[in-house]
Amino acid sequence: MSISVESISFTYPNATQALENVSLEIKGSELVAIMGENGAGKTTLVKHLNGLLKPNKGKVLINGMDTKTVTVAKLAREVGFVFQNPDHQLFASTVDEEISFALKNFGFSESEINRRVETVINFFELEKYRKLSPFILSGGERKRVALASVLAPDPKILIVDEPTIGQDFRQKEKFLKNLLEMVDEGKIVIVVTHDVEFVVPNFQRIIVMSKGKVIADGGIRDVLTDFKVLKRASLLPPKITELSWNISQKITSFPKDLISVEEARKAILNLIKRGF
Amino acid sequence: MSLTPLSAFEFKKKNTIIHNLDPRSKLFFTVILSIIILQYNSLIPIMIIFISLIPLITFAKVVREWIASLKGLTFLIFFIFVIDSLYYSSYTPLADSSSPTTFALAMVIRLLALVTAFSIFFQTVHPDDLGQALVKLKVPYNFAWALSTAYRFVPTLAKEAQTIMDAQMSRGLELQSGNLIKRIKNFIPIIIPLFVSSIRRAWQLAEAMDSRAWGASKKRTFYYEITMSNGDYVLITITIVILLFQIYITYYLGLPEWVYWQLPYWLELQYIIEKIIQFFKLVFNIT
Ligand SMILES: Nc1ncnc2c1ncn2[C@@H]1O[C@H](COP(=O)(O)OP(=O)(O)OP(=O)(O)O)[C@@H](O)[C@H]1O
Ligand SMILES: [Mg+2]
Repeated sequence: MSISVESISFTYPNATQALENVSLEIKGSELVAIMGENGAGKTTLVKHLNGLLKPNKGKVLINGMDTKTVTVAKLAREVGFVFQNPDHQLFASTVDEEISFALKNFGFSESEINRRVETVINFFELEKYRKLSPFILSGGERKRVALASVLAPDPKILIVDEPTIGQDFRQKEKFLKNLLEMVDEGKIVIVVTHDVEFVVPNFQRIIVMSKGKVIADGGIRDVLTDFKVLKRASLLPPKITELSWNISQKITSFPKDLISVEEARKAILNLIKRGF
Repeated sequence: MSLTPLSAFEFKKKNTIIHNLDPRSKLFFTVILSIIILQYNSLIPIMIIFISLIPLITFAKVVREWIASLKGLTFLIFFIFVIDSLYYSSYTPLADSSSPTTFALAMVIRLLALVTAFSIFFQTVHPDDLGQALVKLKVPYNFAWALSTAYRFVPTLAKEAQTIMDAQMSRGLELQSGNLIKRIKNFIPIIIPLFVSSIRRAWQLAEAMDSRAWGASKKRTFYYEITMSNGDYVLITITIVILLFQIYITYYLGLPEWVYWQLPYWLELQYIIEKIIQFFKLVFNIT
């Protein structure tokens, strides 16, 4: 599995320059978050990864394939893409049919389709809705149907634009678990999100964009505790980081770059034991 | 597949003489112009009208959108041209020319002229101003509001259709190749979400309007009042003069002979196709 973005620039037909000389390399299996302010170019960037947009300059290689040489439908077998708004893809008369759509497009056999539909239906707890029209479901449920329909063909690379909007805590946790499982199976998962707390404990790598450029790309701790970067991209630091930074202003021996509850718990207990 | 042709009917804020005119005078001009165009079936008069519209496009600074809209019409143009020049007979409605290809060409250019006239209108009139203009022309407010809202949603709809196509292609729907039947079938996953989200939006809009007491007062006032300026009176006068002049020339004086000019016989599509067939028969020795 590999994604290689080689210094691409992209300008929309109305002359908005949305990407400027962006490069990145994602190899093997990885869970990557893309963050940044509204209009930073996140959606534009990920649309390049499945060929929906082609760069004006530079190139994008997916498993060595130049996106300019294949159709989106072909790339779709490798790259699953879940859009921000589920209403832009739901069309079938039942949830079952909706989920089998991509499977049919990819030419899976009847029995394989049934098996896969069964699996994702169970995973996303959609059993009750199987024979219902997707249009009568609630916003969060529609989002789950959309997710299920993209996950059913088991893409090797998954891109999700804002998955956590409108999902309750339980669904977020489940979804995260699913993403982690995919990464364990050797896949690349890219999540565009504004939800810092969703990213913190589980993601390995974070790419921060601002005004069409990548302004930081690295491990979660390095990036999310760099207040300069966060400020430029209109991101809030994780609450734990804010707390640890605050304490470290008063007590200099306290680490100022904590990101998880677990770390903070240890540091605080340490502090109490040692006395201050 | 792209939806750029729709951008020819989308308002864009610009500062030109044409943008600054009142919607009422532009509406008057556009309607009269359409009436004039629809009176002719022969190539030369339609050509003259079409060519005289081109300066207006440059004044309104919409040349790029105009070219894009013509490109979007290529298929329709081709269709009209071929059908009209091959299936033309004395039974064809409106036919008054003995040259099918000349007639076909005239019909194509007539379509282009109408599209051009309306695209200039819609690109230079703000949706709110259109609504207000209709109200001032005594169209009931509900109706005027519905019309200007429909028009305001054209760009939104175009953008939404593009997103939906993107989403379905990402699920393996092949839109970039395939035969005609397959392409038509492929429209279902595009049309349904477009329809459903439009209806959903309409409901949301209705609820939002109700919760802000839409229709509570019978007499409406506008924050910005559109006003007729000198330029508008000039445009209206010119339009009336053109109309009278056109009626006078066409129906009193009678049009001169050269107006009915037709393509020479060797440019007739039927003739060219016949020759090509003859040529192939000769080459392959078929009798
Ligand atoms: N179809 C389009 N046509 C023209 N400009 C566009 C289009 N889509 C996006 N843009 C512009 O490109 C820039 C980047 O947009 P993009 O959607 O990639 O941002 P984003 O980072 O995904 O933002 P958000 O967090 O709001 O989803 C913005 O300035 C936006 O206005
Ligand atoms: Mg976005």
